[in-house]
Amino acid sequence: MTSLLSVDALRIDAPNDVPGDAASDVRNGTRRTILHDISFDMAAGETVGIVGESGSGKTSLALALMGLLPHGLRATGRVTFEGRDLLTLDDRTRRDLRGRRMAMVFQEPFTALNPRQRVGAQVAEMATAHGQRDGRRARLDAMAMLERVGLAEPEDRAQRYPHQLSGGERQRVLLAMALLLAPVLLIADEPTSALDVTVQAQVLEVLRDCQRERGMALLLVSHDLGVVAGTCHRTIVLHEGRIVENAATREIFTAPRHPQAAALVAAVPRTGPPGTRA
Amino acid sequence: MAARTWNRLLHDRPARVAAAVLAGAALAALLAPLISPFDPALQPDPVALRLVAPSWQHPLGTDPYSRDVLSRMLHGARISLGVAAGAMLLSATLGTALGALAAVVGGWADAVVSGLVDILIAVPRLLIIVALVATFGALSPWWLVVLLGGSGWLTTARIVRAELRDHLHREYVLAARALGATDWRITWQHLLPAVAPQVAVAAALALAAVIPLEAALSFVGLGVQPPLASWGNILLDGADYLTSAWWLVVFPVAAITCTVGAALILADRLRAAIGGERAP
Repeated sequence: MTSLLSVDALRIDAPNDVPGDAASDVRNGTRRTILHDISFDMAAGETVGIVGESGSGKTSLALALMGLLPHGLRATGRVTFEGRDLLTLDDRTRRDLRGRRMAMVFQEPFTALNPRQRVGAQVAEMATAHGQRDGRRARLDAMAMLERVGLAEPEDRAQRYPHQLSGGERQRVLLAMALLLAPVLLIADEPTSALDVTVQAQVLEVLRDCQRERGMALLLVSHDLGVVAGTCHRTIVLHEGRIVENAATREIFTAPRHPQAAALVAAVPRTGPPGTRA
Repeated sequence: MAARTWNRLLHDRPARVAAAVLAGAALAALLAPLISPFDPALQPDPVALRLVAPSWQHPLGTDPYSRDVLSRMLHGARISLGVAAGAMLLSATLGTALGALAAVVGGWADAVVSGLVDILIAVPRLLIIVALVATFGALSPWWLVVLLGGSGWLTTARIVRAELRDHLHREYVLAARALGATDWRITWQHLLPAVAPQVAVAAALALAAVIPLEAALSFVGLGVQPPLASWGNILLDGADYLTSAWWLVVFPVAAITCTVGAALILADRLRAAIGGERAP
């Protein structure tokens, strides 16, 4: 099995403080390492979960893969995606990959949409940004995708502004944007943690369906092991910037090797009848 | 959202009055050739008809050369408001473009633009213009537009830069980047629409600043040159007759005051209308 994405000894260095103060901290020589020696592979169509507590480096890992690390953070190592080393690609090629071959969905579905633009236009904008010159075609594709991700009454919703939609609807819009150009890798950073549980399940369902349909690989970042358990073949547990566990999800659930993984498993609320596992 | 700003503005009485005043002045300027009772440069009888007080024949009186003041006020509005509007457009465009360049490109571009703003803002505008006029001689109205607009973009650039730097760190911009949008596309699609109301406020303030500036230049003889009329040089013609011919002073000053006041009120109400929706 050739891998779609191969991360080899990825390391991210950062100043000690908040990213905003990067410059002064670098001058003071107080650098901190956010991620140490991260290595893993992903096959085409595979679903991998990344879990870990806040501050464990999950989001930095996702941003590094997309090439969107904030200023002042530096990634070293090797990230091979479809045979190319992402960290050495020029900006233009990298940007062209984003959205077309790899896409990302963010945690907060409100802040990730432009509050001043109708959501339908924002989805269609995705196609235009990647060279679709026919505006009507772009709108039609956008509408089809909004319907595909299960947005109720897409014709009506597309004409609305983000603040007029519910959290679940907004997250579906973001999914439609990310999926529009059929990327082979989707990175979802806590895609459901801002949603309530029923909506969470629906959004995950849409993700799984689209993934099965297109053979898209999914990297699901979450602090919620329950979400990961129901979705991912394999789970990587991050702790303080290191991979402490990388195994089949079932294995981690039944026999966690690292204490951190065990703690995460223990933190999953049991919702089934007594004696069963979530 | 922007729609809400405009909606709020439309229902704001001071804003509507101010907009009506500016629109009326603009309309008078545009229609000047049609509605002026006389040729603004015509001197029918410099002896018998000089300094005639307002009458049915000359509603705003005549000046020392027997020219009709109403006609000169209307044609002067063309020049004064035209120069002011042109300078406002130029400064808003320059300010937005340079502010966006500084914020989005950052690095050297930011250093150059911010440095330039810091230096120029310390030099009084009038001083630069007077120095240029002294060097190159009297200026045509087009050059006045270039000078006034070219020296008025500083605050707009500062505002745009600060606003865009804030927006650049919002998640929706990161999300757009994550989907492969270029800096140019992000600026054009997301950032500039977001600062449009602030630019409009800055432009209204620029208008309020430029009208008296042109009048002052024309009043001291460095701006619009006779026989072309502007509100400033009508005042200049009346300067020697302050006590005897009040109409030469009152009408141009009233015109300047009303348009500047209207522009200031509009800027203020617009800012209030934006303020109401700052929240998320």
